[in-house]
Amino acid sequence: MPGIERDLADFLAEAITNDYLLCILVSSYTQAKVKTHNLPFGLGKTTLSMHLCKDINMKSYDWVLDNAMDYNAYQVALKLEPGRERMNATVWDDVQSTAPAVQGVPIAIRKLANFISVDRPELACLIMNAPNMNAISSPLRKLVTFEIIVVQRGLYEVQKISYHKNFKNPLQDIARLDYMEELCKDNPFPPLPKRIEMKYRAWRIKQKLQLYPGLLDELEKYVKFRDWAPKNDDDIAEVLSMSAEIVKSGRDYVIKLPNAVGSQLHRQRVKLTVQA
Amino acid sequence: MSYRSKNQNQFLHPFTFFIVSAITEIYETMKADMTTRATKKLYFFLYFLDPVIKKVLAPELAKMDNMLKGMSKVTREDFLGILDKIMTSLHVAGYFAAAKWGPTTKTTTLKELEMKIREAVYEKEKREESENKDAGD
Repeated sequence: MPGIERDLADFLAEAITNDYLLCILVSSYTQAKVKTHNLPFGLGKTTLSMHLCKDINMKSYDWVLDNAMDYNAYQVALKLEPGRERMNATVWDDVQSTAPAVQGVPIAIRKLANFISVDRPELACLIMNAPNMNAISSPLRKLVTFEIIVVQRGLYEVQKISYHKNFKNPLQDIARLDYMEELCKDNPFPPLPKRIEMKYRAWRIKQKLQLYPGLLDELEKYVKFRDWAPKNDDDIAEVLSMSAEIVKSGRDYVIKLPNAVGSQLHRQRVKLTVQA
Repeated sequence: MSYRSKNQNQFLHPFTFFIVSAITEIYETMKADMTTRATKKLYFFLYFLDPVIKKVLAPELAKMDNMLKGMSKVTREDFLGILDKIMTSLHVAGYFAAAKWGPTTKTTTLKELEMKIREAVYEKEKREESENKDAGD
């Protein structure tokens, strides 16, 4: 049994003292060995990550919050600056919000995943928080070596992800989970100290506020594009009188406008009076 | 074994797979109340086992030989007695050890994790210090 001889602490100690990199995913919306509450949020993923980060870095909670908490890929990349002093662990909180599992993974995220895999000296352990493995971007998913599943508040189990050769299809490895350990039920991990929790909440609000304008902007465009936006006369651009050709594009017929006019009116609502 | 996918099966040792398939088949035949057919299957199955087990089961093998030749009556009780002895031998020989003892529950605490990391870092620092000292000398 691969997980019996060595536990997570052994792997972490080795990663810190030697030139290893471990990517750990802290999740809660998946059930493995231990029966879980199976909830995506609120079971204490961030609390556990902060405990782990504190223990691995051998620092205080304040230090973790000030130096080792990231909310987006850019902040993580800053920790990987070549030549920077080696850091034992950093936490990437809510990965699903900034690097979600989408069909077309942004090139920046792909590049970050590649960079993480080659840039070991600057970081020993990257702890990512997400509801489950399916929620994060696929290039990041492939980096994960351990999944810590928060079973319920205060308890977790550790699974190691191992890859096996698929002899019938050698180009596609089979991923498997090897059970490693679980937290003793009599000794659960505690909640964060009240002051640290308040500080974390303030930090999280600040981070989320950075995402919010972009989200609103996207949603506004989406609603307008779908024709769900409230219509009023102010949205209608000034009246133009011009002749234009009607052409077929796919199944629809569209009016071909000159570039100068088209770029001005793009995605705006116009009133048309057509004369053949 | 039909509930297992091909991908899962390839990690089972072929001999373990054979034993499990054979036992499943004997069990299914017995469930359908076909004792003679099950005895026949069990008889052939015995020949594929370890010589050590075959030696232990020699009287049963002879008994089943007589049953299949029609020299003695095939009864459910006899069959179950033989099956019991075979299964005991297989368990003692450790054929099902992997299924019985893995994965076990292993518990830990955050304190242990912290202590292990601290110890490893302390040892590394000590090692580096002594190496530096040696290099200086």
